[in-house]
Amino acid sequence: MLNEEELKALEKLSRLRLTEGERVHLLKNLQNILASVKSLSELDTEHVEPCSHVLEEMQAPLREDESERTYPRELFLKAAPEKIAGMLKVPPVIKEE
Amino acid sequence: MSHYEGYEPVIGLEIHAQLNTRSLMFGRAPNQFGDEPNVNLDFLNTGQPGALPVINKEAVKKAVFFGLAIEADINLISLFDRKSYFYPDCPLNFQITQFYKPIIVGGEITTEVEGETKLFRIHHAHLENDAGKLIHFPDFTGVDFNRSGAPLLEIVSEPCMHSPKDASAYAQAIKAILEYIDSSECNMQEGHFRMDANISVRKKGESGLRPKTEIKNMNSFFNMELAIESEIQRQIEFYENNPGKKLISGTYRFDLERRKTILMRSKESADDYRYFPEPDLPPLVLTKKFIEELREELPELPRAKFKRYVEVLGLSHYSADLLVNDKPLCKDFEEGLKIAKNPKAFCNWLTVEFIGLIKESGKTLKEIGIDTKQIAELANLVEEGVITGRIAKSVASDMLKSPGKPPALIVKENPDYQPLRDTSLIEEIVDRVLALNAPSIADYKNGRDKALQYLIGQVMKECKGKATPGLTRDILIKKIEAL
Amino acid sequence: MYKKTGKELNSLFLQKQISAEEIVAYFIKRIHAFEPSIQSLLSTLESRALEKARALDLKLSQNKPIGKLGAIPIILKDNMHMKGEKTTCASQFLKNYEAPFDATVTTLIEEADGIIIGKANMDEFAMGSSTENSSFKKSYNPWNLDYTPGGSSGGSAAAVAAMLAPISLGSDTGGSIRQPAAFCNLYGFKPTYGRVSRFGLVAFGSSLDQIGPFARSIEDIALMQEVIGGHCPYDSTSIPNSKEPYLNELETSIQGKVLGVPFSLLENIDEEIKNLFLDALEVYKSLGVKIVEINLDLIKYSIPTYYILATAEASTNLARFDGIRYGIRSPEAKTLEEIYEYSRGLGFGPEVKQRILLGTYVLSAGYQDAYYKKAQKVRSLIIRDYKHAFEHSDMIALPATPTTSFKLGSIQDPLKMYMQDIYTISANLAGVPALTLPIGFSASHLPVGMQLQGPLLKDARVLRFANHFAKATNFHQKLAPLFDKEAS
Repeated sequence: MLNEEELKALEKLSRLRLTEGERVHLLKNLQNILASVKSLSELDTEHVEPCSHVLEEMQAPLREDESERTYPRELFLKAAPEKIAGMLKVPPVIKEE
Repeated sequence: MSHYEGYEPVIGLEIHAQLNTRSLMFGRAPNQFGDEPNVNLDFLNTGQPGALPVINKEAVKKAVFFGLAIEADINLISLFDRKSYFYPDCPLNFQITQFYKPIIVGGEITTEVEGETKLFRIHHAHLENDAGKLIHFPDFTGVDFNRSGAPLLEIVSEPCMHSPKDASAYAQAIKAILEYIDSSECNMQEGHFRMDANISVRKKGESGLRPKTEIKNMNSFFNMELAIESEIQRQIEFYENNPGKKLISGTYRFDLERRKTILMRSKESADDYRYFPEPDLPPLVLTKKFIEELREELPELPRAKFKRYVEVLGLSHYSADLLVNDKPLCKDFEEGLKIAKNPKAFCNWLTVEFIGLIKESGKTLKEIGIDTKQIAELANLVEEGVITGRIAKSVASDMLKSPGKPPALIVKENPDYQPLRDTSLIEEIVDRVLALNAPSIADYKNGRDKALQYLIGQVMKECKGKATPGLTRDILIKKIEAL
Repeated sequence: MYKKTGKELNSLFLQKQISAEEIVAYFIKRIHAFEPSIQSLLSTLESRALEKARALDLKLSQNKPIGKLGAIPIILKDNMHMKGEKTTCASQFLKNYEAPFDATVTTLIEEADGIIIGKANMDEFAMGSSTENSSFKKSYNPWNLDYTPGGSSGGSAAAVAAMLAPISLGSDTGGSIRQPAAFCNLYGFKPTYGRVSRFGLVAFGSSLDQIGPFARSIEDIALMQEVIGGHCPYDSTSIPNSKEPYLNELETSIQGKVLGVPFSLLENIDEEIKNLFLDALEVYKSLGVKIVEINLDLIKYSIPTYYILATAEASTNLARFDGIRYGIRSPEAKTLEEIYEYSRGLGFGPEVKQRILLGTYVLSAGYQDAYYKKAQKVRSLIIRDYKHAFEHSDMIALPATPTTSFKLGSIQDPLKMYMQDIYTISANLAGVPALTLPIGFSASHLPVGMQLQGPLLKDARVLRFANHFAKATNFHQKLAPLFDKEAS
């Protein structure tokens, strides 16, 4: 069953900051939800293929290789919280190519 | 490999090749380098809500070309998956990749490694989208999404290499193929061709694989060889000093200044990628007809060309390998071949003389303004006996000083280059040389051919190389026998 | 005029009995008068709509061809893009976000000369069943203002039920069109998955989401689908060659057709709803339709299946909201990690956070097989169940909701809230077309709906079945009393 430790790890993975109060509340809810979804184990699915796409015959369409700058830079930068010299600005990140 | 002290390195390479399509892998923004930051944008490569991916047909074609070139299996049905991780250069905070069922499976590549022919196997190759670019400043990091979403073909080898030279040769052979099939510009400075190595060592004869480390950020073949060698040594030292202990996996980057691999992050702190099928993309389905039509379009591939150069043209393995792995140079060679009388000789002039002469300048022949057809002409002049090889060397330097000037003209304009046709003049010089070199005459008469070579050399020196070796030799022999 | 259907308004306009500008002004006036009591909209596009109306009037006067939706005022749920207008998804995170492009549905509506007059309130990021998860405000049910209009497309439903527009669009991932339609006495249609383009719809559960219309007449539903249904080259999950006629198919006879009913699922619903449902079946019988029992027992597993798959997809769809490129950024954040964590902590409401965490959990290493992969397999079983059911029937009828609308604030337990979707979710899992139609009222005068579900791609057939029911009944013609009057 999901414990507080695991929930904190999930917060990190999801990049979500919860307040103490939120964490207590969410932990209970998540535990209840996870308990309820356990009912799926009643079903025998050993020889069943997982479904990823509902329409079986669907194939990914292929697009012709033509380019278009659909999003102008001014609009993009206008929406950005912090920018500098045409780039988005974030706190320094460790170099990792 | 005795310096590996009874250990065997096991190396696998992951190569990310950026495909040279006009638009991105899943979006329509232009796929090009060098523009101002954030001008090549669409809604998907900037992670806007409501944006959806649509697969670029040309990227698929280029991937198939690669699969055909390495004789791999092409999956007629392949799938896309989401790979989740948070990073500022990742606009969706997930990458669309092919984790469960890639488009290309298996495949092999044959190439020369220090004179030995080796076969390397590929595990698979898959399509995915590239991330944006981070530009690091002291107080902040800038993010540029121009490259974000570019199509990548990730080529994963089997762990079948056992030395830095193996890895380097493999990588160069992959690069050659990509260039030949025009799938990637492979310009490492522009980030078109990135190599990551996975390295482990084990005792010779050991069957399993020990923990491996990953090395990133190797931006040249030479640096990769250094990095791999450094890491092999580090691992051997670890095992020698810590018998029975297990190496901790991690990701390293190669520090060129310190000439060693530096830990970036250990395995434990890596994110869980939570791969799952990309719901916005149904399966990629290809028909046999589509594949066969692409097969028809394949150009001559590096290995086939190598074989042709060696078996038909008679080039050495070394020369053939050099040419085959350098597509632009090879193209020039093929141009010159059209008029060259002796392919092997022409090859030598091109790859040894000329390339050797310009090596220091760092430029290509094209940049200097030399047309390879003219190099072929020069080779032909020697072949036809119009000038000697020695003179030709001088002509070569002159050609570099006056790029574009045909060799025949250079020869015509310089009296020193005119071959000595006047046999009487040669005979005079021969007489003089013979008079001064009695011991050599005696040696030759005793069966030492080397003495004759020496005498020829002396004559050539006297007449400043203008007499052809063949003619000189004939006259010398005639005169010696007459003595 | 408020009683008119969209199609009727379009006819009046084409006959030049009333101008587009008059129509739009009329409904804007209704919005001013009645919107304060139902709080269904997040923005009213007054000047834009009037401008479009005037342009349309000019077009008509020049005898240029007019699109199918000419002069019909339409409201969009605020998770669909209109270039230059805000798309907030009722979230603090996107409260100032301006859409950079038009959704395909927007383009199609405007090309058909429809006039979009507002963006509707919703549960934040479409996560909820009561619109109480909107981070801006609650919406109220026009049939009883103490009650919820349903969710997550509650605003779209309330607006049409209060007759602020004849047609609105919602989105349906687990029932978010069909449940509000049932609560508000409306038709609410979820097309076959892939029928309507998702380009420009802010994604919640990508393999489940579909856009669909709310209306008070089945003709309006059919009309809307003719415009927005069809292949879109920007959406890889869009069905190829999928434009089809609906209006002309409505009258085709359903005599002798078979209606399958999963009677075992009726055990746990309100007695009132059950009785109205059985009455509705009688109506079908009287129309010559045969009723048979079918087995859809796996529906009881659809909630856990859905909550695993939808939250998994949502956890990645919402990962892009990170404070780096747009949206709110926490002013306290100093490092990169803080930007992510604080901005998302600040910008998302509790239900959204809960679902992101759940979605991350079910995909994470060590749990993916037990949860995510298992749910994918159960989805296959449910699809198989539907295939079997349709071997014995032409159409399925089942309840739309287990209860009538409920008082705002009365359901606090998330699991109880999730149960609202018990009858609707399976249609999203199987991708089949599904429609809510009005079938009567409870003793407390709250609307009751029923659901029709058809085989994949048989959207026209669903609308046809509904049309015949509509001709034999008049529940759909009842209007919410509080709003059955002119704006003063």
